[in-house]
Formats: sequence, structure tokens, C-alpha cells
Amino acid sequence: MARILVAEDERPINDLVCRNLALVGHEAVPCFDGDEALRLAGQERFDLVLLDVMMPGPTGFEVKRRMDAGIPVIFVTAKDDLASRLDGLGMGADDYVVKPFEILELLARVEAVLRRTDQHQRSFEHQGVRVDLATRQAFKDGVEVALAPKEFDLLETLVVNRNLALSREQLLRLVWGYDFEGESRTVDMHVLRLRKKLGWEDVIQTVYKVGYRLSTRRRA
Amino acid sequence: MRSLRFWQKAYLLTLALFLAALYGGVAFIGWQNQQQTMASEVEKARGEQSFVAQGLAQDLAAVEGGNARLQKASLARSYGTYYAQNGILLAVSQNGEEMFSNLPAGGDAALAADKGRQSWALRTLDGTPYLLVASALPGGLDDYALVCGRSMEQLYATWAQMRATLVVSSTIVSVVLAAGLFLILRRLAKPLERLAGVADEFAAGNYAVRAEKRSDDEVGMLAASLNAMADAAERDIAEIRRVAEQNARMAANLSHEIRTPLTAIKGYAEYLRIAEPTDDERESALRYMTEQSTRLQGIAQRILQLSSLEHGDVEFEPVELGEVIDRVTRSVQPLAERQGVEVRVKPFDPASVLGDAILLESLFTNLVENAVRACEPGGRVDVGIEARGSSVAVRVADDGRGLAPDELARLGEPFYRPDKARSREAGGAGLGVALCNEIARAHAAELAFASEPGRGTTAAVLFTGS
Repeated sequence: MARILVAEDERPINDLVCRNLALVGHEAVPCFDGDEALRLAGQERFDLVLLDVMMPGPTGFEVKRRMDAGIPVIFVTAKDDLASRLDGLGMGADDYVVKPFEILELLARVEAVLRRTDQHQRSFEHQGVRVDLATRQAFKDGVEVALAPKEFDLLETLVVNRNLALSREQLLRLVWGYDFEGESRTVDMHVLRLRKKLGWEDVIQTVYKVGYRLSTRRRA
Repeated sequence: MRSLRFWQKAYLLTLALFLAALYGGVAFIGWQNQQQTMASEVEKARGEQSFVAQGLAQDLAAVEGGNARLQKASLARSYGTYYAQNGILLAVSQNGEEMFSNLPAGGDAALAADKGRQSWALRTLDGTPYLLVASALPGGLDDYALVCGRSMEQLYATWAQMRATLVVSSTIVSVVLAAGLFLILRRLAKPLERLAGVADEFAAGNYAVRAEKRSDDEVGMLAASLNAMADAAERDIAEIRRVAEQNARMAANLSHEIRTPLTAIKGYAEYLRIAEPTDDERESALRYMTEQSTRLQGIAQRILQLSSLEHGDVEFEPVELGEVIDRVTRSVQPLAERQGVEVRVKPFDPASVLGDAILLESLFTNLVENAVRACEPGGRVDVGIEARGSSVAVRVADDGRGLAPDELARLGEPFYRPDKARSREAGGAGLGVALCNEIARAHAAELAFASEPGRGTTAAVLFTGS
């Protein structure tokens, strides 16, 4: 999965972002000021950098300017004004996220940027099941499992957002789109089928009052 | 008339006035001249006629004899011939019957010779203007009448020539004036155009532009006034911009200060819901949420305090400063210990001011906390109260990092923190000093800072007797 540098001087927020990135399978490296960000970005390879604009030392904008232009950057900041957005995007950032943000939205944007730079996840394996996101195939113990298109779409969404619970409404929107007139029962049925076909009754969890979660963590 | 420029209006009006005066004057003088000339001509003609009448009367009276009539006629003829050489034509009549005349037709008939009175008239006879003078002959010969006439043709011609000359020269003068006036006025109007240009440039946004004062006349005065106005406007504009920038900065900072803890709280709440946290993870998430909520609470409280102070709802009573300082040092103790900084209160005399105890405690807590945070471990903060007459000064001095002059200048700005990134490691939300300023102001006290980078900072609150 991707190696992501998280540059944010507020410790709680840095922690939060790193944890969530780790949950969906990325490797997150924290740093707390602009100088450290530049140093790390220069020394190690990263697939994406999340940059807070207001940091001690060089600002996020400064860091982006001095960094290698080939590394994708997403600005994360409280500066919501148009001028800052234009500056940020204008200097070549791949995206600009304003605080407070929904963690799922941040993750989706990270995924989008990684997809553009081809750093996104192609395949996923867990408990005997291998999912090839590129060819849209699923294999259980080496044998291909026949999945309907929407079943695979649902599987993909769960995989990309793994370890985070998604509500039925969110799944409906993400997999079936805004125009879909169906009920959330559709989601339930598809989940049921996935569980059966992949033997993932324990992997795709029902989260009380929230929705469904594809869990790869061992129960604590 | 409205669409004409000022100098064009001045030009046309002046020109019209001049032309009216010129032609009016010239016409009047000419007419006057004519009248006078005519009057003297008439006088002369009358004199001539009297003289001729006298002579003729004498000569006529001397004629006697049988062919008196013939002789008188011949006498009249010889007079006529003689005077005709001098340009005087005459006609003699007796009892209305013409004896002799070399006047053109109509010369005598119209003139009624009043007995004893001489009369004159201008008549055109045979296409030529004549000045005719008539009377009865003196010396009792009043049945005889004599009319003398002089041609006015020459005079009239002279007059016509004079008129022509006047017209021509007046026209030349008019043209010269028109041209000269045009150039002069246009030149004079140029400075006004120049000043208008300066004003336009100012209006377009170049607030530094000023007019050149080139003379001491009204235009120069206008230039000086324009410049004074531009100075005042530039100052105001700069001030307005400064305030606007400051407000924009404050709004941005406030936004950041509020959004940051909110992001953490919201983020962890979401995390707890949808992730599958271990017990440790859950505990740390909840801890963060609580901390950030407290932080948000502190900011909200300060903002409210600032706001209420600005609206002036404060109640005053006598406050013992010594007690306030005691409470402050006690509440700051935990922080001081953590930072490894010593807080000392110098011995002081009891001092009391009129104020709000809670606000004052807030003020000094702020100052002392900031002092503690500015220090390195091992540093010191001294708090002292000095009473001098009716004024009381409270000083908080530290030997910490100090502030540079530009940081010092911006210290009271809400949300401003000397290190621009508002690093939370040092604590505080940057509202502290702004709040202190407001509290001091509400107490009619002065808050001043003195600082040397690397050596330390001293904050002084001066309560005056009022």
C-alpha cells in the first residue's frame, strides 16, 4: 500500500489521520513541522504527502515549493478562503481539504490522488481470499468466485475503506449512485451474498446502528 | 453655455464686453464729432449769411434812380457771382419774387424768411446736400430775403472716409484682441487642467501623487489645498486598510483557532463510531476529545469576555491587589513547576484599586502565565506591586526569550502569537494579551510591555488615581 507522509503540527489531528490511514492499509509517517517534512521527503520515498498549511517553520505552501514536484500533495488546512484555495491548487497541489473534514472524505481523496499517480491498491488478500481490483476478479483459495458487477463494486468499496464502518446510505450512494431509487435492503442482500460466496461471515461485520465494516484486524 | 470650458466662457464674455465697449465708444465719439462739426459749420454759415446780408442791404439801399430794379438785380447777380467763387451760393428775393439765384432748384422756395429771424436747414438740392441759411435783409429792407447755401458734399465725404477708417481700425483691433485673449486665457487655464489631472490620478488609486505649486496666486492656493486634502485622504486610507487587514487576520485566526479543536473532536468521535478501536485506542481518543473540548471552551470564554468588555458591562468595587496576586501565583504554580520556572512575589504594601476582582485576576494570570511560558527551565518571573501617590503599578518581569520590536508592536492583536505558527507547545490561544488590553482599558489602566530579545520581558499595569 501507499507510504504517506503526514505533516501536521497539532498532535491529536496528526494521530487521528495516521490511525485512519493505517486502518485502510496505508503506511503513515507523522511529522510536526515544515523543516522535518522537507527533511523526510528528501530522504525517503513517499507516495503522497498530506501537508498542513499553518505549521511552525516553513508553511505548507513553502514546503510544497521546495519539495520535489513529482510527489503528490494534498493540503489539509483550516484556511477556507478562496485566495488560499487558489494559491494551494495553483501551485500544483493535487487537492485541498478544509478542516474540519470527514475522515471518509479525506480517505476518498487520498485514494483518488493515488489512483491518478498509479499508486493505488491493485490487489487485496485476507483469510484465503484474494481480490484483484484491476481485473475485477475474486479468488477463494485460488478458485475464482463468480461475482455480479454490483457485488464486486460493493466488495471493492469495503476493501478500499476497510476497518471503517460505512452506513447503508453511504454504501448505497458509493456503489449504486445518487440516482438509485432502491432501499437499503439492497445493501443488506448484497452483503449477505458476499459473505456467503467468500466465506467472510466474520470478516464483513455488522456494526450496531452504523452499518457494515470489512475488518482485517484481530479482535482485541 | 454649460458645455463650454471655463476659459472659453471667460474668453467669449470678455471679448463680447470689449467689442461692445470698442464699437460703442467709437460710434459715440464719431457721432459726437459729427455733431460738433455740423454745429460749427452752421455757425460759420450763419455768420457768412449775416455778413452777406449786411453788405447786400447797404448796397441795395444805395441804389436810386429810374432803373433801380435793373440795377438791384444786377447788384444781386454780382454778389452771387462773387460769393460763388468762395463756394457760397445765394438767392435773393423781394416780396417773394426771385431776383437772383444760383442755388439749385428748390433752394429758396421752402425757406420762409421770418422777419428779423435767421433760420437754417439742410436740404438736398439736385442730388447734393446743402446747408441753407436764410433771413430778411437788415436795415429795414425786410421785404427782401437772402438765402445762402454751402455744399456739404465735401464734408460728408470726409465723414464717410473717417467712418471707414474707424471701422477698419476697430476691426483690426478686435481681431488682434480676439487672438491675443484666446492665447492668454488658454495659457492661464492650463494649470487648472493640470490640477484636475492630479486629482483624477489620485481618484484612480495613486494616493501618493501631489500637485506642484508653481505660483502664489489662486491656482497655487488651489494646488496647496489639493495637496493637503490628498495628505489627509492618504492617511485615512492607510488607516482604514490597516484596520481592515487586522480584522481579516483576526477573522482568519479565529477561524483556525476554532476549527482545529473541532476537527479533533469530530474526527475522534467519528473514529470511535466507525473504526474498531482497541481499549487503548478508545481511551486515547476520548482523552483527546476531552482536552480539545476544554481548549474550545477556553477560547469561547475568552471571546465572550472580550466581547462583554467591549460593551462595557463591568461593575466596580474596591479590590485588594495583594490578594489578587496571591491567588494568581497560587493558580499558576502547577504550570510553573512543569516548566521549571520560579515565580516570586516581591514584598509590597497593601494597595487597593477600584475594579472587578475576577477580571483583574484574569489579567494578571494571563501576564504571569505568558511570562512563565517565555522562560527556559530555571528561569524566573518576578511580580511586584508599587504604590506611588494615587497610582499603583503592577509589574511582571521574566528573563525568558523576549520579543523583537515588530512582535512587540503586534502583541495586542487578537490571536497574534509571536511565533507565527501558533505552536500549541507553548500554549495559549493568542487571545491573552488582547484580553489583557481590554481589561486594563476597562479599569482606566495602562498596560505596557518592554522587552529585549534573549534577555526578557516586563509587563507593567499602571492604575492611575482616576
